[in-house]
Amino acid sequence: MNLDGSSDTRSLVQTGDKRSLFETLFLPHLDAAYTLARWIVQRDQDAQDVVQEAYIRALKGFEGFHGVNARAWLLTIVRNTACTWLKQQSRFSNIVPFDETVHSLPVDAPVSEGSQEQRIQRLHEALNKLPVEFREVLLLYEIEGWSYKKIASALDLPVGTIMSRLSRARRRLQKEIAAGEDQEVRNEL
Amino acid sequence: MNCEEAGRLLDAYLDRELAGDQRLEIERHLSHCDACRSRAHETEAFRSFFRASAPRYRAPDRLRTRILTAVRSQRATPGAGRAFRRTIWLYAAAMLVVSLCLYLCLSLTVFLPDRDKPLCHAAVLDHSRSLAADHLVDVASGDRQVVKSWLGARLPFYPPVVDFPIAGYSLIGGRVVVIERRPVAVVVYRRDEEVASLFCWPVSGGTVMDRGRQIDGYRVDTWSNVECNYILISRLTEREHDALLDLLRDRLPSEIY
Repeated sequence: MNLDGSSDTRSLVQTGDKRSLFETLFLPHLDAAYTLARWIVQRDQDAQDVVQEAYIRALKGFEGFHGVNARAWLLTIVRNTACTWLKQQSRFSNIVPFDETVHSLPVDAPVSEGSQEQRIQRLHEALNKLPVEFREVLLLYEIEGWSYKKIASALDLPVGTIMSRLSRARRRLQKEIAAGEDQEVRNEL
Repeated sequence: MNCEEAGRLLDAYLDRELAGDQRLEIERHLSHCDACRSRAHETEAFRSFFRASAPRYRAPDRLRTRILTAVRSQRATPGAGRAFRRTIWLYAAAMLVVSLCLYLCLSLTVFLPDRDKPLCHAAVLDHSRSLAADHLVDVASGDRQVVKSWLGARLPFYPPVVDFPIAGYSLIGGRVVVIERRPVAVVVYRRDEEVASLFCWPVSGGTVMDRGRQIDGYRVDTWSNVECNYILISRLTEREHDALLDLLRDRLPSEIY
């Protein structure tokens, strides 16, 4: 089934059921929406709240959706909702309470002794330490496969900024991972 | 091209985001610079490692249920299928009656309670005060990025800021105000000698009605989109005000895609 396509969309529009059209278009992207929210606000419970709020906003603004790309439209709303949420949080308190879910591995990743797994774990830790501006650009480019131009327009930033953020984000991650590996070699000696 | 420039453009090159000239230049540089070439290989290897290993999450089933419940409890829509088609004439008749009533109410606005009225009066007061005190903006800039980040740094949200250099409405800056106890971003435009204020705040506390009014000789329009509520105030001519309103409604993000 082509979820962003027109034939499916049109038949549902004809039945006049806005909600089932909404569900058909947007529920398949729930994992992507949740992943984006996790990357931005990090904690599971917060990400769930953000995603729910974003879906309600999307439903309310559904009239404004012209059926070009449901996934991108939804992710833009999730991103804005998450950023508003972060701003509100930072206004109340700059101290983020320690939460295990932030520092733990994603549910699917198996914990193992192998060096590749350690490298992945190091990547995840480094990613958590990265400023949010870097994380969101990385996700939209590397995981969602958006172009620089599309990210720039969704984030309302110049293309040059996207370019330098991506490059700086990668340098930082590479450095963090290398530093972790050095530390390990030293520990073994 | 030297190593420093090449380093700056390397990621964009590997991401296939560099256009003609720059791409050729960096390719020429890479062909004779071993250090940059090995950096390119490292970056390339890191990119594929990152793509394969970056965390992706599955939404918890609980969340799926929560969203479905929330979506389905939103205001009900007419049932689907044959039943709907059978009653379509009834709906059409009902719609006709409803739209006649609406038209009547709208043309005689006195009958329709305007719940955004206090808000609009407060906004008009702020607009005219800013004109009288000759303090239109806290940040004076025609650069929408500058205005946006200045406002965003002082408010709990980032207001969308758009400009229309060719349409004759120039962005002159922004200010932060408090209207009915909520922080509001004001983006200020100028056309000839006339000034228009666009008030903007997030919809989280409820949305305003889509409606135009006249208050103290000002045109005052309220509307909202997915992200924000807006009030536009000016003493531009009818035609100019409408044109600005159309531009804003059209260009303010929320419907980027």
